[in-house]
Amino acid sequence: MNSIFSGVLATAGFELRRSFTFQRTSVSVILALFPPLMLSLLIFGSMVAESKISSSQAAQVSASVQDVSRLLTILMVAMVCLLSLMLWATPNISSELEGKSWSFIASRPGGRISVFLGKFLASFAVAFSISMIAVTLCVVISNRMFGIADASRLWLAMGGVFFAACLVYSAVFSMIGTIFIKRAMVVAAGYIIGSDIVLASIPGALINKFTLRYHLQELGIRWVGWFMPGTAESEYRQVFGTGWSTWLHISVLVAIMSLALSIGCWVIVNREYVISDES
Amino acid sequence: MIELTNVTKLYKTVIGVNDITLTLPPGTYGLLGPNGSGKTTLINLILGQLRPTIGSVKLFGQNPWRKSQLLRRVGLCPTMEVTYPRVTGLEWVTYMVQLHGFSFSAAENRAKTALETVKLTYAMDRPMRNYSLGMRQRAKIAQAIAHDPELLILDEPFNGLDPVGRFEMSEFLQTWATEGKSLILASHILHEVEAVKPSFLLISGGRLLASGSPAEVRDILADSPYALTIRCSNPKKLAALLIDRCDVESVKFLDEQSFLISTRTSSQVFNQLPKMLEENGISVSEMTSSDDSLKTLFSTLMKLHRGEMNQGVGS
Repeated sequence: MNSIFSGVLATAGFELRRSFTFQRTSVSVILALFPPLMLSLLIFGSMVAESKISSSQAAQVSASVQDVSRLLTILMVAMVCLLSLMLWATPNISSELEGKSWSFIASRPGGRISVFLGKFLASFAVAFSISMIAVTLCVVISNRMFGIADASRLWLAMGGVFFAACLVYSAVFSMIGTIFIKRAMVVAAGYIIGSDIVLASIPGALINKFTLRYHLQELGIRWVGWFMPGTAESEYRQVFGTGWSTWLHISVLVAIMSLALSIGCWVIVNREYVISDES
Repeated sequence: MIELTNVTKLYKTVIGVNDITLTLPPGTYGLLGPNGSGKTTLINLILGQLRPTIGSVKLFGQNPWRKSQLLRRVGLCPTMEVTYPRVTGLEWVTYMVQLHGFSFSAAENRAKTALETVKLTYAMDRPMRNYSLGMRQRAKIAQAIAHDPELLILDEPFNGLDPVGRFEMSEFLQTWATEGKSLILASHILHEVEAVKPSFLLISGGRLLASGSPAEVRDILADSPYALTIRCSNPKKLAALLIDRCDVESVKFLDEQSFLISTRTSSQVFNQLPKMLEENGISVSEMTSSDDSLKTLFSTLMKLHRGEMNQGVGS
């Protein structure tokens, strides 16, 4: 047990040290800068529009942009978070098999579990760092443009939601990576589309309670505040219900994460991974 | 140390290892076989990386499947290349030792000692993309020995080594064996394995064809089909003598000084030849075997295995 624990930390450390390459750092920087860039474009576009209309209309546009900016921040950061996890978490085993380094790792006591959990931690750390850089920049831009009343609380609330999101999605994508060695990223993308876009959008259905988006969205509404312009919270509640307590949503997310990690560990320990260049 | 009972491993419809029964007490073993013969599959079965389709495997008295703690006692140097281009040799070996449960500082110390043993200290802080094939091979050996295992398994360890590297590797493996630790050395090149003086395990087509000491394997080969080129002072007379006294299958004169004979009883030829040369005053300037290779060995063993030859197999 002790060797697995130290192996997990060693793997996470090794993977993070390995990640500081020009290529990987560039991808991370691009991902982190994408949401603030989109937000800046929205604000810039609205400013151009405001200059061409009357002052009363301009005030209305400004208020709408302020509403939309919060939703845009959440959507863009969520997208970036999922993309970085797809890049980092899903190829956890396939990269070792394709790189032929699997034989070295698997011949260590607890090596399989250490690599699975260590890479899960590393992918979480990278995705959460990217998400937080993006959130921080977006909050700073919004605060500068609109003067948010409690910017630090908003930053903390978004940080909490993305912390939970990175943990649970990293676990699910890591599990997908152990089950589907080939095309794990495609399966992960399919999972997001099928579960968190299609199922989670079915109004009033029980099944959307089993999606990660439902629970994360509920936490977001509680912590960040209502962030969906064009729809009143009461209308949303009529369709999707009142939701559970915050702790219950957190417990469900922790349970899903634990289940995904347990399945991943079980698969990786019990599966025969055959490396192609058999001699 | 290792016990395999009727072990068969199927990859869907392809046989990786076919009905191998084998008991290996601690010692030095050379696992010999052509490429694709099932050596790596056998190693993976021994290490519990693969589960036998039929039969049972025991490593240190236990079934190794899902008992990864047994691997603490084993060092593996697989045939695969290391693919961490930006990582230094020291970082990689340290990480590999950490996966055995050592703290970072203990792992780093062990990694440095192991890299010194394989004579790679001078390059241990360089990224591995700058390593030659031989240097990467040494780094692979270092990660296999750094945690001081009881059993060292090396899959084609001489690949990529220059002559000096090969000599040093042989020397290292001989030292390892004399220290009383166990060694399994998989290779498709006979003389590389022979240098370590192991007991042989000869595998082909997933089957264990023979096992035993070098002398026992030589005995099996003694009466195998053999082609010999002889350059001498009187080739026609020597050829006639050989046809008369030995079981020679064919003779082909290559030029005025040399001829090629093919025989099924090479031991008889080698016994008779000195007497013939002495009695008839023939001097031999060159004698070479055209097919003294692992290929011949395995083709002979396959024939023995299929009952096409009468010689008993050592296993």
